Amino acid sequence: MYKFRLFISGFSSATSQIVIEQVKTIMDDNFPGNYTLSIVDVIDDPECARSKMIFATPVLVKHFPKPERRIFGSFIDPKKVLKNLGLTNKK
Amino acid sequence: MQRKVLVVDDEIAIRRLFEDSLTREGFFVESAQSGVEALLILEREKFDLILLDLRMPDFDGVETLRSIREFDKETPIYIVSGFYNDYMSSLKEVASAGVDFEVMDKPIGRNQILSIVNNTLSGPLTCQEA
Repeated sequence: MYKFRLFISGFSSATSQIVIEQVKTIMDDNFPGNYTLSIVDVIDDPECARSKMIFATPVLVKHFPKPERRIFGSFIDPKKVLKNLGLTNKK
Repeated sequence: MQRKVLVVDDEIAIRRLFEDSLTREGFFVESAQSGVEALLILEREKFDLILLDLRMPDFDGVETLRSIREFDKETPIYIVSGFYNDYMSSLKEVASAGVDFEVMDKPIGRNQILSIVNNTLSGPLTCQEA
């Protein structure tokens, strides 16, 4: 089971909604039924961001499989996202 | 085309850190030492990115953010502040209202600044093993 965590600033903002949608689409297309994605709003839970040393949003963290990796920036290109997470594009 | 960044911070050391880091990399940087000054600059000029401090006298970062978003919903705005600060409740309010912004933590180094600005403006991803 792949484990991811996405850190955003504000659930209600249009940008955050787009990022969430992009990440979910990548996960659904590549790991259908075989991943968990937790979403952390750093405005609601700053302690979590600080404890995980998140220095800016939006950040996607791959917790499993190891090694843990984090990527920051645009999530529009699934190939880039997967490559930088150290994962293979299944499509 | 040269990308334009507006830095809004009342601390000169922070403004200089951003200016030095970004101009070296070819960005055009303009600085404002208050939210009011930033709004005056934004009346006459468009930027690709705004880096906004929270803790400023008179007109703080949250009020500045709200004011900017009244006339500009597109330009990416990074709130430059620690995640633990006196302004979290105000930030929650604007976030709940759907106001668009991102956050970067303090203290922040030159490499992190460049990573954030480059990724925001040009889209490539940074990869970091934890």
